[in-house]
Amino acid sequence: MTEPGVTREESGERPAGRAHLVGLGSPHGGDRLGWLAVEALREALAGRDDINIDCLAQPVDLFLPRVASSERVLLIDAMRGRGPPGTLEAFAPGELPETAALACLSSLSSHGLDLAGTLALAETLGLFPGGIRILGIEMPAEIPKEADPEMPEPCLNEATRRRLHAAVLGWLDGDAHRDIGPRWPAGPGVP
Amino acid sequence: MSHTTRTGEIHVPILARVEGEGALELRIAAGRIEELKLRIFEPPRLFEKLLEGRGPQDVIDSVARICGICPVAYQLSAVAAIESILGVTPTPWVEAMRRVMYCGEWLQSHSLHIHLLAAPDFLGYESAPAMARTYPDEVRRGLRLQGLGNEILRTFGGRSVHPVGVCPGGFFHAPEAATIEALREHLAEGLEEARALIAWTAGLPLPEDDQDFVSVSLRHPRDYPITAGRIVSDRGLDLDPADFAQRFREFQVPHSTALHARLDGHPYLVGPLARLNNNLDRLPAELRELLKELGIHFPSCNMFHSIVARAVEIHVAISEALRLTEGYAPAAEPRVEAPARGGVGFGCTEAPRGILWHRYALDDEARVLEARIVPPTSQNQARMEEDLVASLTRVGLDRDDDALRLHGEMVIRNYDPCISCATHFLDFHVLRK
Repeated sequence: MTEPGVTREESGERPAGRAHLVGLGSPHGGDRLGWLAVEALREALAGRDDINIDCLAQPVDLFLPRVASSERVLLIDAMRGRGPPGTLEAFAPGELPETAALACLSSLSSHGLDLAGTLALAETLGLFPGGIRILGIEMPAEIPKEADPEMPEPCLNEATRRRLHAAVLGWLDGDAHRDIGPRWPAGPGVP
Repeated sequence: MSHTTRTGEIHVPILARVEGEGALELRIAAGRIEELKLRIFEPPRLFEKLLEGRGPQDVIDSVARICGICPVAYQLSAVAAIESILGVTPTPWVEAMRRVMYCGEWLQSHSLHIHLLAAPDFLGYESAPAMARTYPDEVRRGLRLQGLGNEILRTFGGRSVHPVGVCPGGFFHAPEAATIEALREHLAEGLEEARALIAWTAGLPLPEDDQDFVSVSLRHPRDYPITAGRIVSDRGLDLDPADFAQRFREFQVPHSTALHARLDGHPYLVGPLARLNNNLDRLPAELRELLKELGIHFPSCNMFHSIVARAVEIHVAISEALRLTEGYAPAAEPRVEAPARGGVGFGCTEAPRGILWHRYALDDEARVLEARIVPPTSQNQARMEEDLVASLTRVGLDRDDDALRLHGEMVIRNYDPCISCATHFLDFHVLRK
């Protein structure tokens, strides 16, 4: 696994075409992990000119021209029920869990156009021919604000950031037809 | 089997491609529909109770959460009611920009419904992805138009889902001139696509199904109604929104967690078709001419012409956004001061699905004592059930169960019901001995 600070793996097998990294979520609660992740990665990937980075609020925003014109896309979303908090798990569109594990599968039905439906439509329309991947980050357990008003908003610790960075570099520089890696369980002490 | 002898039951346990959770139950006896229930079983959300004790800004931000598709409608009905209590008159700039923001919501909501929810029914596909294999350009056009609507919402509300820009007296922030200039370029492109979309919807194989119903909408002295107007019907109703409760009555039925509503004791229709039926003379002349050329006659009593009405309103929304942003300059003061004050106020605007009526009673510190919200889907419920009985009978009750189920779902989807919006209320009674 690549350590932070490594900017590019010159393997000669990098997929061609522009990549788009998208954080799905909203500004508050566990659902903000997708946005936090791409904001952290924005800094780490600042030196690269082959990737665009966006925070989006709903899956249908993938059809915005600036996103839809990309060759391939990696979506980062908060998820629940897939392991200890901080666990990372990668999915292909057809592998999305049937239960509403990913936040945008459960929180925004948008009249039936959820993440799975949006990705099915994108594939039918031939968007992102270089591939679509979804990377879930397990949310911390929900604690009602009333129970602990001082409880901080969920955040990403350094260990999770490192694993995220490695996963995204693996996707960005690896073989386009290879998955970015199925699963990175959280280590001890990860939020 | 003859339709005069058929007996049986049909259940559609979960309605697909509608927002929220509902079902359809149908009992046929001796070739007649004996009982039809559009069951809405999504749990009540109790929003009106949650608003009690909250101040104006909390109300505006909270009601946006009722719906991910029409948050602006909720915000602008609420802010109209609250401003009437606080004695605030928004500036012409604020009124114009709120109308533009509302146009964004119509645009995204209608585009979504036409392309991803309704059109697959009329073209015989089980889903939008299935339809997109044969109609990729049309689906792409719909997604572009929806994206344009979301761009308007982000411009004024900071984000397209649950926007946060509206406050009593105006907006927190006025968009920069350069942002509006870029938006206008996209709107100009969208206007041509909207024209093509009207022609496309008019050419769809829509069922012929004329029915007798009352169209209810707002009516504005000058404009196509969006953010303000009197409540009118095509049978002579002409009402100040403050007098809504004199003629409209909400009531609970056992099979639905959403209230039903009646006008003078009868079901009625709200939404794009009702708006267009009542406001044809508020359309630009070129649009009226286009409709005439396409051979779709409004006022229409065919509910399936709703998809054409939505396409027309997409054109209206883009035209209005272009008109109102011509020569745009950001307001130096995008809001006026709103003092705390008590009283009772009403707000009624045209959500994508029809009139959305709010009533608030505020205490002297402008905190909510009582709130009442009447969303369009609950107003349309009785009309939907009436339509289902007529439409299923017309297609033939001797058709097999799958055919009736599919037709029933198509009838319901045609209203674009937002069940999550409608289930905001619980009539709670407790009997203690």
